Amino acid sequence: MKRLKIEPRNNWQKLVEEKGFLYHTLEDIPYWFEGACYQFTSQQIDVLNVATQELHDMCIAAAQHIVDYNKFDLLGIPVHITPLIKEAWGKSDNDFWSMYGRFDLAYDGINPPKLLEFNADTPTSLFEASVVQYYWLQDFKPGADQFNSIDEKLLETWKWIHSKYKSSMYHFACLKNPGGKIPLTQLKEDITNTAYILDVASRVKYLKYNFIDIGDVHWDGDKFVDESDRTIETLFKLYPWEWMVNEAHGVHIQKSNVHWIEPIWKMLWSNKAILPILWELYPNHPYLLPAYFDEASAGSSYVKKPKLSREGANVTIVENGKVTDGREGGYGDEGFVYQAVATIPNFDGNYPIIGSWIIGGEAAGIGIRENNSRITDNVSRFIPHFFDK
Amino acid sequence: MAIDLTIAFFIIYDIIFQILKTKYQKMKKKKVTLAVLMAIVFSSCNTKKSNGDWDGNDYYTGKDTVINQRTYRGSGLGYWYYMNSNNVTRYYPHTGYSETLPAEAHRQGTFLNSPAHTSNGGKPVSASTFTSSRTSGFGTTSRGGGYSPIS
Repeated sequence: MKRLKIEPRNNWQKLVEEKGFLYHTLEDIPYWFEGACYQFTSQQIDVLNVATQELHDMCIAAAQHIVDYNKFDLLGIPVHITPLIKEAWGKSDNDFWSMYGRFDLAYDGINPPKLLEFNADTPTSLFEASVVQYYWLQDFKPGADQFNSIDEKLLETWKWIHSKYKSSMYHFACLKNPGGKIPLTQLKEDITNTAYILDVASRVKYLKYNFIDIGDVHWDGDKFVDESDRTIETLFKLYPWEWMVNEAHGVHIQKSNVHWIEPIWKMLWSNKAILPILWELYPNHPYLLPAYFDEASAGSSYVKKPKLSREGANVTIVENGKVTDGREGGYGDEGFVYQAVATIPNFDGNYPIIGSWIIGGEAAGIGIRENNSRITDNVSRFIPHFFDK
Repeated sequence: MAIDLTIAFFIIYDIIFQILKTKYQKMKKKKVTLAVLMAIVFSSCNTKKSNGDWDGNDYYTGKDTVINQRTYRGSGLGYWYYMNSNNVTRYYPHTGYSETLPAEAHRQGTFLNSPAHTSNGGKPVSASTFTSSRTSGFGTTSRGGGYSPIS
């Protein structure tokens, strides 16, 4: 694994915009950064592939463990939600499984990857990983390969979904309309990622779709409908479950027949409480970092993470009893977990995190986000990668 | 015998390696136009709209209609509007009434002076409390909180 300094393509902004990537620069700082790239060996890609698949299997066992032993309180999940999760989890064996998720891994190319967290409900950077870095590779080094079969696996997943549900229309919802304090760049990211998933789904024969704002999904007294009062049969939503269940319309979820993508049991995986549960089930596993619910067990050096947190918010690094880094935010009401400090490789002050995608239950590719500190936040750069065949 | 086993091992290893390698084959997206994505992204995210120098902070819901030979966009607040530089013209389909107001006032949700044209029965309400005949659905956490909802 190497970090190579390279020349960005001439007029790269125009090239990525032509692919529909309009949030490549945030506040004059490139979010998409092609002044560098990461090079892997095919053996290292094998390692990431195997690790992703195994972590997925372990998460399945962990979810089953939570359901079997009724450990929902460890995740801070409201009691009235647990029957919905149990029901959805029970159906997952012969009904819809899961469309996607992203494992964030610390990996240096030498030691086994370590799971930092699992973004299982509303992961983004899918479009960058699947499309933008693919087209970059065609220009940069067309003879090289890339761990990236995201598009193909998404398509296969949607074929499966449509064969299973046969909905007359599929709805795709995200924060689409401005309002409140939502930054415009946030909207662009949400819209683009949702539009990409919709685009893939639209390639399935006879699949009809409607793209709506999440605010247009409302209860009409009998069922969830869209902005034109059409029945919502299947809904892909890029909006967190923990917010949906706590909003006014959340009380109707248990009465609805909507096929939700992702399913509500993803609340088990997108919660960082999954980390100490995994450690309890698989102590000293090479892909895991020690993680605990109580601070005392973590010793004097740990990363304190809110159970529900995004983009590094409210994450604090404590080393030898002293806070060495941290991010503010508004998370933490549900409590915290304490994870051992990962060794994130330092490439001249650049700290990369591997986002490894699982699509339809299969490892599907990676995207790399890099920061100048060990905490990956919402201004981290996306760096493309390749490996030699 | 030992040599045979070694050869067999490498043959099996190579087969497994080739199978694994197929997982990483490059995408076939070069044949994919991403037409749907492009249409959505450029209509929803491109702030340089054809009707004026709009900054994106409107109430766009994705529905368009043509009224008096102009393209109007549907608002969740019960009217249609089109943008013309720094002004916005609203059209109220319930009464056929239209008004033009500064874009800034539109962005801030400034309410129509004459509530008789709206769908709320003509009751005088402020922009902050007004809702259209359609009930607002999910999304209140993000719009009230402002935290980045996605990871």
